[in-house]
Amino acid sequence: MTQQATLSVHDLHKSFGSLKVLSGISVSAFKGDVISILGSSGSGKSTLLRCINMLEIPDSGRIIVAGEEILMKKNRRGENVPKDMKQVEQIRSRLSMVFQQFNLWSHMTVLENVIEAPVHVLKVPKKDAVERAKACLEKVGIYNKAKSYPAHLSGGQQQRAAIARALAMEPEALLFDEPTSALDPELVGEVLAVIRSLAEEGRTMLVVTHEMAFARDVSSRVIFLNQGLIEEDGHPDQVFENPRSERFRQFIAGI
Amino acid sequence: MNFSIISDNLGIYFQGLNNTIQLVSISLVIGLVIAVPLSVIRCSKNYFFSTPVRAYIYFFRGTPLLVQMFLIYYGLGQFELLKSTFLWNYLKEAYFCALLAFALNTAAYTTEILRGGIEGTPYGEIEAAKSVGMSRIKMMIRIVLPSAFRRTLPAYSNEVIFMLHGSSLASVITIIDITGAARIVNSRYYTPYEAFLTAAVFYLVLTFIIVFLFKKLEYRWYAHLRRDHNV
Repeated sequence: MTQQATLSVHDLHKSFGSLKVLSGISVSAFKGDVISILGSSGSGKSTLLRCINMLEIPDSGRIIVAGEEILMKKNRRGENVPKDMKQVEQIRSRLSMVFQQFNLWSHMTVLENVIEAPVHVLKVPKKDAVERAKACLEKVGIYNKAKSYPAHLSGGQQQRAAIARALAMEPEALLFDEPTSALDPELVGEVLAVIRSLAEEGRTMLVVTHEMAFARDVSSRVIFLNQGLIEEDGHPDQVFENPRSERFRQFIAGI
Repeated sequence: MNFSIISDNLGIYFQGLNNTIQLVSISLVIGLVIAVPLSVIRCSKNYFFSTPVRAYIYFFRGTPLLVQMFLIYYGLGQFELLKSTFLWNYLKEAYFCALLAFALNTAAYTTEILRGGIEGTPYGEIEAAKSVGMSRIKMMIRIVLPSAFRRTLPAYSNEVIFMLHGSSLASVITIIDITGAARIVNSRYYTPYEAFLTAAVFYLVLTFIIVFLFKKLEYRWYAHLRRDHNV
């Protein structure tokens, strides 16, 4: 019997107007996989991640989360749309996303940010959610900032708060969309250290990143996207030491 | 300046103050209650829903408050059919007509103020709400509206003050509000200066209180923006 994928994507296509961004992507993540998604700007890596939780609606293709496929239909204009938003919301609550710009809710304290979705989406009793939130904040090392508002934190602290918010959902997989790209070089390390510790816990993660050292050391698998297609896919040692794609060779040489 | 005229007639001014406060506060509460759902509908991409709200806002912002009040107080009496219904029990009352005009008027302005706040919600915060699986309604209630209320507080304080001053129009349809009281005093003694200056002082004090309350509220609600907020 084959193991069921935590997350799998089959033949995903997405265009913005006439611009083709994803031209048939298939990828599966199994429990404990840490997949780094690399690629130059415009290669479609963020779009791939955003399609997985339907922040962008793919034009075609299948997305299956822990055996449950997101049901799609055609609307009157013939566009691909989710058949049942309830199902999409339910699946989103099982996949947590960490954004490049943190996107914390600015009118809430860090603690309120972290308990918000567990209480109001997962219906966890508030007391339990607070306990859970404290544990998450301890893990990312900003428990002492629980009562601060996002605007009073550094970028690195904000991103760690956003990671705590994602963890508090106890998701089946974590999606990181360039989590360190908006940070000062000095703050990148603290965020990467947190992500690394999550990888060591055996969490399933998809990480869109430009941090080559991170991709090489931490991930169990590296995917390189180019012009909407997967050009490299494999263990980081193999991909970095012995790239098959000429484009990827140029890509790593350029950094 | 004849101060004895003012002191002898303070009773009628306080009666007027009472009416002004009642009219303004009730119409503001009703207006706000109407405006919150309307502003959400106003932001809907579906024209079927948003167009009627746009039309409503356009009418109430496009015509003077006095004309709206006249239309309700004098205009509706022209319809015999309406006079035979129970609604007439209310619509024949000047007080109710003023209240209705004020509430509908402030609701229109407040809807538009809130729309600005809703549309100004940072898109990233909306995406974050989506990404944790919030439904549209939950996202509105938990994220978008609380954030919009904060953003619109200064603009809304303006609307509250405008409403206070606009309420002086109620005196035109026989209601004894602060301005109504001043008109009575003026007609009794023919001392416009004393009569209306007293009214002006009442409005100034009320405005001062409103400004103070909004300042308090801003202090509480803007904790996330304050520099001195360290925990």
